[in-house]
Amino acid sequence: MSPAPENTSIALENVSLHYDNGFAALRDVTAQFAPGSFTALVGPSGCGKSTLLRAMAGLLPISSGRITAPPQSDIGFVFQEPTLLAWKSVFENIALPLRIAGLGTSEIDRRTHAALQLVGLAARADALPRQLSGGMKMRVSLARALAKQPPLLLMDEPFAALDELTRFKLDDDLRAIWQQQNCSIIFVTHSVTEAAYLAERALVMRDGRLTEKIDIERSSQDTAFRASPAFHQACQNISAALGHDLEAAE
Amino acid sequence: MMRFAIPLILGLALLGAWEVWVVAAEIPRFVLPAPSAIGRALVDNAAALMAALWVTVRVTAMAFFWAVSSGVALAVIFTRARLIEMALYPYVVTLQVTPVVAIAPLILIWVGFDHVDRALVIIAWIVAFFPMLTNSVQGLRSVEPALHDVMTLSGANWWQRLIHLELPAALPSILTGAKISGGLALIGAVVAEFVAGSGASTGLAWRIIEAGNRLQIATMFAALALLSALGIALFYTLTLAEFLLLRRWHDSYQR
Repeated sequence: MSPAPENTSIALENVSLHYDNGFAALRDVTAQFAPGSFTALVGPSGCGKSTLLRAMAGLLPISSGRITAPPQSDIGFVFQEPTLLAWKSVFENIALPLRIAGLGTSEIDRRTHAALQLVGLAARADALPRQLSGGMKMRVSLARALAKQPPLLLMDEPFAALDELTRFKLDDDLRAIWQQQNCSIIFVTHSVTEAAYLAERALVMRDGRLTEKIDIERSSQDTAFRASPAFHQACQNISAALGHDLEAAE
Repeated sequence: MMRFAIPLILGLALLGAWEVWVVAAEIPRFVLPAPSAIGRALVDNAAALMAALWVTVRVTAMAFFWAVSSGVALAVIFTRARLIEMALYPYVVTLQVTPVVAIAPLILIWVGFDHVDRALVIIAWIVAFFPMLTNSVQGLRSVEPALHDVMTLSGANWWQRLIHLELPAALPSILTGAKISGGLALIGAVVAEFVAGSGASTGLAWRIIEAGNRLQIATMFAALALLSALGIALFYTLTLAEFLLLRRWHDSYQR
């Protein structure tokens, strides 16, 4: 991986990835992501979304092509599971990457408390992960990524395992955090509605390829967007790109 | 409460039955002494038995310490360097499957009868080491891959990865290994004393041999009771350590 150019958060150029058994998980993927943008990566299970995200983070070596990205220290990553250290408190889980980076104690305290505030868990700093609900654990995971103050945040279906109400709430919170932090977010999801609600742009993936780019016109910045015709239209567009016809299904 | 009361009541009942049976059946003392006679032997030989107990405790503790530290250290090396594991593992297995009684005389000769205590520790260590190694390797290898990714994205070096992730994650397996290893260290210490049984070692096992030779069967039983008590104390100490270290966060302690 090489550093991303000035006006780009991360860029992919003809990226392919083949597993040892010959399976092509990514095929010739090319895309650019602007600083401060919010992109949803949508596709059915097994289409290569998570693989692409992990390759962007430098967690998987690519077979060919080029990824120009910030260094790993400037990338926040939120996994499908909360991936918290069960023996460490919420505070220590969030602070750990900062400790490893060698930051001073006061800076660690400041950033960790700020991240806890952002995700609304300031009161649970001393709790252990097992004492939290699934939604709270994902918030801690998000706070850990945000505490690094990364210019690029990669999120791999982080809310997929949560109930719908919790997911709606976290989607709203995530948008608010994005507007506040002004980082680039690439958000992997298989949910059409989640992609349409969260992102400015949806990239549709099928069989390891990026098949379509859909810009989402957001008529409202708050939750009212979910009830708007623009939202419905965005869902239609993404579904069509995925090969589904919502109206026909209805 | 019932957890302690039930086995205690059962134990007292068995001791009572044993006492009554030995008296009623007029079983000779050199075949099976009554519990009361064993108690008297314990009191009468308290000084010698306690000194012997201390020797066995020391050998067991040293062997256990070396088994834990070398087991965990080698497990870390094995999980870091596949080549070293491939090279050493067959020899570690060979050491484990070779009956320690067969190699103990050699160890005694090599270490020298001037340092019998050292030889006893080495023999007990051989017995206790393997479960420590295998459990630690298994624990270190079972760390969730996504947690390794978290450490990679944090830029952790190998030491930070070990301290913050691998050792705490492997702790339940390491403690399971330690519980097995603790009991084996005691067994190893006893076996070593039997093998060295020339009077050069003065632990509880030697007291058992000595009392047996003199047909002091009650003293033999008294030494045996102390050995059992030591094994039980060791097991529950390690169980307590496990409880204190894991109860806050590990699934096995969540109700």
